[in-house]
Amino acid sequence: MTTLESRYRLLMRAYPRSYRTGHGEELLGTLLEEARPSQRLPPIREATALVREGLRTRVLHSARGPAWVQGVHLGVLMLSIVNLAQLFPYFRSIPVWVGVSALAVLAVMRGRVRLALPLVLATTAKMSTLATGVQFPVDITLIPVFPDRGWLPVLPDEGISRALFSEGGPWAPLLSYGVTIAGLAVLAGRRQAPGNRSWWWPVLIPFVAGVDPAAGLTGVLGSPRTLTRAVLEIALVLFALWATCVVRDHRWAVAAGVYLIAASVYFVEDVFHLTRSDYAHLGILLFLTVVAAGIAYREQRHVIL
Amino acid sequence: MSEPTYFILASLMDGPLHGHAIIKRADELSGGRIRLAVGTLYGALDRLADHGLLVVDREEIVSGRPRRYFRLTEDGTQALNEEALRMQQAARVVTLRSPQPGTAGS
Repeated sequence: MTTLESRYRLLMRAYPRSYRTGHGEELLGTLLEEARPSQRLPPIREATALVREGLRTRVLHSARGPAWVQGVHLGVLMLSIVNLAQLFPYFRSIPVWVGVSALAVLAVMRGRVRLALPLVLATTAKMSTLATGVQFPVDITLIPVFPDRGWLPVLPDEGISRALFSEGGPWAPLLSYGVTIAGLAVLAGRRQAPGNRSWWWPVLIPFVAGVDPAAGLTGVLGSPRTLTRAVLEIALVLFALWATCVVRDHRWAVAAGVYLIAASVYFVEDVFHLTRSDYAHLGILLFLTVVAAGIAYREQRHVIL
Repeated sequence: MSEPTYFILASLMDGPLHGHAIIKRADELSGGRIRLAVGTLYGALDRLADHGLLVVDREEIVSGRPRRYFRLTEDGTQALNEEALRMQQAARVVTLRSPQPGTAGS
């Protein structure tokens, strides 16, 4: 295998496996026919086209089943990832609950919503004791729960250096779990499971854990973590907008909406302490979600009319 | 219809072609303006096949790799002709009003 061929094979991993099995060799043959004899690096034009079309094919292949069901499933998966990432810095204090949360993410990702529901319910019960300070008599977790060593603040007043759920009121984190439970309950009530999600989703977990998800939509002005979180969220909603244009239905807008409902509670809780950048952050996310919903609505009308 | 789509369909007017040949033919027909990336081409071919504008005519194995030959369907030929007519009518709006070469300023 030449260097160019192995690099093309790497780029073609953007396509789903089923597409690569069916047409991967044909694509590769055409790419190599197009190449110069001594070429070692794929041209940028070919590389970007492969990644773009690979992602487009992935989004199209994953768009099966009723759009609203898939949208709720995607939104619940995203919330489960945020809920797990939020507990990551406290692993040594609450290892069992980080494990239960991780299992819940796995169950949601593989479409096992009836298995995920009790796991999330149990985690919610535990987190409500940590958030409200009202513990069960048999509970052995010492409150407050401080982060493990290594999760040092980038700025002195960053939330990530503080105890779990010590910022703001207790309702925002609990409502995030509440929305997750409601979504799972809706999905579990259906006869047909919502299907599997890509194994690429867990890749998000370390990124989300590193950007102080406990602070919700608000954050510390000038903090690199807050800025990174805003960029990550906007990038994900932009992806949802692009995916809506590709699949032409409302599944990704519903997913972004489910995430925003839970995230907005942080915003409401901190309404008297918000900065202009917090408003801009929420405004951009809301605007992109509404645009995605508008595109989906227009496409639906276009099909009907 | 986008310009790349138009030239992909136009390249198949003379008979079935495989991916690499479509890229060459579209480049030639467009005077070098349309240089399709391979990923873009196969994405477009999949979408056009989904819409019934072209189909796979046959598949061959060349140097151990499969190679599909695509051909226009009746719907594809009709869509291409309609687009050509639309562009011709749009072009006529301008060309009929423009001064002929050599008559400018007279």
